[in-house]
Amino acid sequence: MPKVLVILIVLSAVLLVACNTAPPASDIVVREAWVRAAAGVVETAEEHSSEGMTGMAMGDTDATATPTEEAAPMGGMDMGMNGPVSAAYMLIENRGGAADRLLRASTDAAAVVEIHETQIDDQGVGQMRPLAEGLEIPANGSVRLEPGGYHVMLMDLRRDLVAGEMVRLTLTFESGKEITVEAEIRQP
Amino acid sequence: MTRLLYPHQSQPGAERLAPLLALSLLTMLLTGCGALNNVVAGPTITPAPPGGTVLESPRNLPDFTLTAQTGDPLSLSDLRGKPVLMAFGYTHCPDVCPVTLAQFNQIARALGEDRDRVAFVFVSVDGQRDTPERLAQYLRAFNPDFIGLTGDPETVRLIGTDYGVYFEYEQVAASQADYLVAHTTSWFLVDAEGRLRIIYAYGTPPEIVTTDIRAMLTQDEGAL
Repeated sequence: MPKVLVILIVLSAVLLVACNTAPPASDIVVREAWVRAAAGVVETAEEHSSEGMTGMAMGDTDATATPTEEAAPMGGMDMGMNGPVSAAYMLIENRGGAADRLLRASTDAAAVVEIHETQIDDQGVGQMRPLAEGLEIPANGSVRLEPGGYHVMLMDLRRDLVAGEMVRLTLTFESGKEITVEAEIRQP
Repeated sequence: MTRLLYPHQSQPGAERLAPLLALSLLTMLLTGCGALNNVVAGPTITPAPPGGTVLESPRNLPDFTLTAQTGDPLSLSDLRGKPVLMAFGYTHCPDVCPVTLAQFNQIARALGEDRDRVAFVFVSVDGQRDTPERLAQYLRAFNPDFIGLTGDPETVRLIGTDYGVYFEYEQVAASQADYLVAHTTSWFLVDAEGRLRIIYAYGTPPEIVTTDIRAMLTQDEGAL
């Protein structure tokens, strides 16, 4: 067998391995995160239950309110979606050579967090679209989440979001990377 | 490629094919790796047109009555004598509506002393959830002087037709929200006589709207 042949085959095998087991990785950096201020959160028994006995000791819960862990989430489903909403915005940079995808986000400030896109058609009709597949962050690129475009929608807020305070957001990416950012609450 | 990969084991000429095979494999890999760097994606942002659409002839608007955030009924005709800057939306709207109200606030601030000569109105297309109390709370965060109007969605739908406003409730499987509301995001400038004069696309720079309102106020002064 000619040596050249062997070398070529070995070389391509090496490249194949290089390509498959050490692909360019994503390198995500999140900057300029902020959350819109929102008010109108109604304190419910559910809120107090998460604070343990403190709320009860304060004597400001309903007489009937001794919610179990099981009952509270159901109440949340019914009542919660009537709570105020807000949105988080940020710049997501991918300094790596592989695309990544923002799959979900979470925060203690909201019961439900979804990644949405606002679309406005040529008739001026705007609607929000949940990004079921997440939001792609291209390799060596960036995506800005900003009013009128992509946003992290915060639903069923658990507390009022007061301008000047901070909200902690955890973003989960397809690569498995989790990034926690402190987002400033602003009243634009 | 798969056709070439297997035959070389049984064919006598396989040794001569192999270098070619390896070479093309190499090329393929290099191309394949390179392609990863070429992924292009980004947000879709529609640039807003620079100015509003001025109606060739002002459109007389039928009067309507809805419930204000105070709980009291309010009619469009109650605002006669003031230009009215109006938008339709809902309080569970996290993105477009707050931006609109924030921009209305910028316009109000830019108007300075003339601010009280203009009415800013936010009409809810989600009367089912937007009670007067809720509307009051929502608007307070922006400007307590803004007027919020709410009412039966079918009534609002009828009113909306005079402005070319459309809205629709959507239950979206991928969202945990009870429902989302698709709605017209435009802003409407109604003159002091209750006639629709200018329609702005969402995102029109507030300075443009301010200039138009100022011109309208000056015209009204001239008419006196």
